[in-house]
Amino acid sequence: MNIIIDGRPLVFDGRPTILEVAKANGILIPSLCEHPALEPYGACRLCLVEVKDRRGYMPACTTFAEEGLEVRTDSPELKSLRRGILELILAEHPHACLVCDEKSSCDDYKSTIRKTGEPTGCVLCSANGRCQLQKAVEAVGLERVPYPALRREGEVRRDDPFIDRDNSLCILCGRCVRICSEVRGASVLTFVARGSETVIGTAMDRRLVDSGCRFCGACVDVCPTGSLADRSVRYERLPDSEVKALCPFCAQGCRLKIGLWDGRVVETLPDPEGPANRGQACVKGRFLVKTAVGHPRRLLRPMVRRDGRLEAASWDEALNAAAAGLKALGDGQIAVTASAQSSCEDLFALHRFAADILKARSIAGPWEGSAAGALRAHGRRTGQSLALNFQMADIGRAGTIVVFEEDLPETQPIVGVEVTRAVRNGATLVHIGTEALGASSRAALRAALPAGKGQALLKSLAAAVRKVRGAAVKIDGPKKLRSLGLTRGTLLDIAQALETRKPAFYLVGPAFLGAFGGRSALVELLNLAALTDGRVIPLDGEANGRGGLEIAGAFPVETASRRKVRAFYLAGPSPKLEPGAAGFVVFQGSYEDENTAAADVVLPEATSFETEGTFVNVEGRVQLTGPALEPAGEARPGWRILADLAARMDRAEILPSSGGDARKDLARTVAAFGGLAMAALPDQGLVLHEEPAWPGAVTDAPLTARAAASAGAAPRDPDDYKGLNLALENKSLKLVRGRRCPRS
Amino acid sequence: MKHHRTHLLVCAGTGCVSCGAFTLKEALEKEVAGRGLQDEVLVVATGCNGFCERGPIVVVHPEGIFYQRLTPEDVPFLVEEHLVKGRPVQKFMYVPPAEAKPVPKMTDIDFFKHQRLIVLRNRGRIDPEKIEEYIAYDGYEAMAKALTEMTPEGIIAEISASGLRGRGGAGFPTGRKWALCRREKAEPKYIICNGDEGDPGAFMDRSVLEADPHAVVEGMVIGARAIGAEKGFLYIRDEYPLAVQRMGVALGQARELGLLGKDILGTGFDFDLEIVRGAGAFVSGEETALIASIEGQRAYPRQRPPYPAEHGLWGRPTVINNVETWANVPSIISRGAAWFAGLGTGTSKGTKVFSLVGKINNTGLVEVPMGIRLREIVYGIGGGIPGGREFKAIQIGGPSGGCVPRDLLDLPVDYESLTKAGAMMGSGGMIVMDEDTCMVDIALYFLRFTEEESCGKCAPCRLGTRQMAGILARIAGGQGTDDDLRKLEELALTVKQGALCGLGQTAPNPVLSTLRYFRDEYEAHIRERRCPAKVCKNLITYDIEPDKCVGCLLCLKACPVNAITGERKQVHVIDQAACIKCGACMNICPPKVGAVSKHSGEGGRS
Repeated sequence: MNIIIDGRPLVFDGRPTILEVAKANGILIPSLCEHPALEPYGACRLCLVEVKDRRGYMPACTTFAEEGLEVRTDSPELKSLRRGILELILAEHPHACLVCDEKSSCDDYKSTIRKTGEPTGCVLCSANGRCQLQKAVEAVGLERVPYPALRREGEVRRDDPFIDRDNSLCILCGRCVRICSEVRGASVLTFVARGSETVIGTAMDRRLVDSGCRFCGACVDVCPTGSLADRSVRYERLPDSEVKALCPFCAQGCRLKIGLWDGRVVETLPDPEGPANRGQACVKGRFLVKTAVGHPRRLLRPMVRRDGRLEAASWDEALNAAAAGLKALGDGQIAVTASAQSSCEDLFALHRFAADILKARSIAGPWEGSAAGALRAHGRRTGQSLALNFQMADIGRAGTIVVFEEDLPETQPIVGVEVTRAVRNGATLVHIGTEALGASSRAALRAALPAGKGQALLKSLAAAVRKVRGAAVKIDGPKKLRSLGLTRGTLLDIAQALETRKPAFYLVGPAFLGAFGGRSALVELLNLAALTDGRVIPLDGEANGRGGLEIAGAFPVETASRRKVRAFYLAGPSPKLEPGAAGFVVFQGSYEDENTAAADVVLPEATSFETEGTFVNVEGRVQLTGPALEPAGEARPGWRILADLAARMDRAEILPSSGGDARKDLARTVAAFGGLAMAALPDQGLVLHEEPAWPGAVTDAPLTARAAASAGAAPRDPDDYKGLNLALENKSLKLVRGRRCPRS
Repeated sequence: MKHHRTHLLVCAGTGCVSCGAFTLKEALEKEVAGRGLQDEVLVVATGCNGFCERGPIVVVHPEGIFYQRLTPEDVPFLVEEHLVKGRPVQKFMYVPPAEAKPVPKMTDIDFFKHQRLIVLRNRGRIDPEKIEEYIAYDGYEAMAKALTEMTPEGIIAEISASGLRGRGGAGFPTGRKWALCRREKAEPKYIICNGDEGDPGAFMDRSVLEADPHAVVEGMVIGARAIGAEKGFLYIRDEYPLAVQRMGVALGQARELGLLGKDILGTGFDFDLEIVRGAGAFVSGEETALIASIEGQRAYPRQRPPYPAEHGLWGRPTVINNVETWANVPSIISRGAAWFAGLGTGTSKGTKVFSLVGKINNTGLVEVPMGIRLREIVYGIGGGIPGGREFKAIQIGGPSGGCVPRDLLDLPVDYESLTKAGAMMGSGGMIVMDEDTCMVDIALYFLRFTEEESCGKCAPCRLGTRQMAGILARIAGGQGTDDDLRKLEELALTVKQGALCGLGQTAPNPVLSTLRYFRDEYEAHIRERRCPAKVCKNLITYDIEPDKCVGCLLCLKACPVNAITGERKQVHVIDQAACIKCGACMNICPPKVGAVSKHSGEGGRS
């Protein structure tokens, strides 16, 4: 379709706003309240344009482009109107620096002096250099503000974790309020008072942390000024470079923009172009990368046990010691653990190493206890092909969403964003869980059932769906239903939603199996999904759980040996080993944990920020990341450690000698990656193959009791990153986790 | 039904109630019963008569004798004389200003004589809490006609042909609005009655809701049928408890009689109404903000288009009309579009209700045909300015409106003329101002109002009204500069063109219209530091004229800040540095002495 803006004939598709068309064609219309993630709002009035044959001026951000529309963005009247509005906005914002005569020389010679509690000018503000008000002033060409400066009353609020709030810098564009409710579904921030008294605040003026905030940081990211600021950045320099990296803290596959100064992390922001997260992140990715990469418990140097004590050693010494210890053992005498937070390259190398070189007794990873693993295993047992892949956007288009047990903002924040989208589009959200969870606060229908009653509840639901359809089915009596945590009315409402609002999605995480009664509950759930034409979507928590599941499946443990396990190669979580009791222990990891002390050799591994690697997120999307930073200390990529080790065990040819090689091998060896262009992963990532008929053997291979226990033992803490518990390490996160929103 | 020879119609509108109408009614009932007249005389509480200035009011039916400003003490005498002896009591009757002879009959009083009642047709004659009385005056006949004899398209055609325009202010053609909404495919559709009347000094909607709630209900059922809605909302501000209560009673009675709810009149048409009480923000009267408020959101307006007719309540097609608009609908349906279109001017049809307040003799609520001259309202109905003062201006349309000066007294009252004159119809507030009113002060008053009531969403309104009020305060305080006038005009334009909703777009009108007609007053404030009306405190001084002062100590005692010194029988003197210009001295100085005078201008005297 065609539109004319400032005399230029332009073409557009779909239903963009005038502002979007202009932007796409390089026509600058200043705007402050508009944001691509938010619905049209039209409050700042800077983007007013003239539309031929329409009365008055229209905001370009709320007016949709139409065939044949003629728009002017730069008439003298508009320019003067825009200037008038911007002057008014600046009258209530510290503007001395914006209209200062010395501005240009100041920009050139002075860096931002941010160590101030209350910014009274740009050079004192944490947003200096990226403030959109500065850009608007430049675009409009403002040189003076003809009003007395007014400072909004109130102090800078610094009583929350992570985020500072300074209302004196706020221009009331409402982006924070809107992203908090429209996108994140939290509705923590709100407008308080009216007219010129209006400020951004919370209900009853409480702290964010007491208002149900999960500190996703979205409000800070959309704030056009420095009003909402990441406290840790307030006193930092502006980054001198930016790199992109995947967040390894959970399975959403968020891409982050990491701002560096002299190679050091200054801040991390969600990447608006991130294919999975599209500009959103959560508290961990947004605020805790710094904590993780520079943590004092990082393993920086290889260590070798000498005379009963672990001592720093060179890589050669450590690798030789490890190779010597492992080489001495025979088939089936070594148990290996793997981490679902390692990259595909690392996991591929580890499995190959374990299977072909160590001839390990077991390679234990968290695959069996994962939701995807359970679904796959069930599919294979029953000969069905159960899809594991999905797209985030599918969830946003759901009619009914049933969430089991998960606290989405914490464990699946981006899925949570899509659930919010679906609810805004009219979907019914049902929350079935055993805990008081925040995600349920938006749920229209809820059940709080006692542990282990999942199967019974799912059966009741299926009966209720049949009843809603008109079948002569008896549903459970009130007493029975009460024991399942809901009323007859709620049961029928859920059934009604499942029956009438399609498609239905059932979101299950690993907690589902534990809390709902294991495999039998899964069978009931799949039956219910089949009955309602719905889909069961497995939501696992770890960054590469899905990739690991596929890789582990390609390396069936075939040893028949029943010899005693004499050594451990720990590259993932393991139950605590007693020093000396476990034989020979090699520890490959990034952080010191309870098993480091039991190790004979410690091999420091780079984090995912420091090396190149592919991760498969919860959708089944394969994405390549890093390296964003130099490895800390002497840490090395996992695959490289293993390759070096293999070389010292005279089997160098078996392991890939680079990340690229590892990806090529992956595409050759592991069916789910088969034929994927792993050598050149596109920006959007690639989607794993779903295998209708799995060629490999069933993965329920016999494990040693100990290794089995290590795999699915205690439910994984979502704040654990390679043995470093972020919530325990960071006071702020601990505070946030301690105040989960009670069920409302 | 019992027959009574006489009805005592006690006005129970909010104005009369606050003057003790209910106590009066009790006294009347007691007195009537005490004399054993209860089977002959019925005491009825009616809706507002409109002549609030004269409350409490009792009209004796069927003679139409109008008694005013009654107290319970007057009751025995009134009952004795009028009801027992049959002699109307002259001393309780209305005496027009500057005349000596009372006017006994309501219909002969100037205030009522010039009015033309459509919306207020039932005022003062029915008990608003009795549906039977509404029905007795042909109530719900129009609804029956619409539901049984007319198609939805037919109803819309009739409303369109009548030329009815929205009475909430902007004057959008009602029929067209309905047609737009009917055309929409989305279901369900909603209709809303906007009863969030917030203009200072305006009480038209309140009065209609209190005096004749069924007229609104009937209009809404007809509207619902026309656009195909099953559910409607009456948004009434909670500051109108009587309106909320009477509407609640009306809805209950209508449901009971099958005039509301399922299967209305057996026609198979379902429609029900719900009252939503507003929390008092002025901006809630803006239609999109009102819709947000019903939805439970903060009352923030949103950009139109899309208009509520396409995207309204919960995103559904919605017709939202003002109380007065709805109350017009039944009459149009029952008497026909041609009859309605026969009233008024070329573009403005029918009547309009105004609340006439300020410096005027007959304060109250009036319904006049469109096109009537302002002069007729001010002098004909309003009885002119009290105290022999000069008429200066009339503020029409509340904070969104403007001041119309004396030269334009012959302006016809219709949508276009008022807008052209810099005012607007608004919801129908008229504030009359005399020569003692300072126009800078008036503009400041309204700008402070809009600044406070601006919702804060869009920048021009939130910030612009604040800056304008600041400049006006500066001028009123005697610190204005010529540049301030230029700035004011610039700002006014920025806000008018830039603001998101009607509140902001019209907020500068009081400034623009006073600047247009009374620029000299602004200039006097700025250049001469003089307030011609002697209102702006910073620019006036009070003086005691030595040759007139008798030294009575009255003013000295009245002064709250002890700024006056003097001895008995000696001339008193005001200490100008201490004086707070409250005017207490001037008020207390006996008129025959008249020693205190007020001055404004350089040198303290002018």
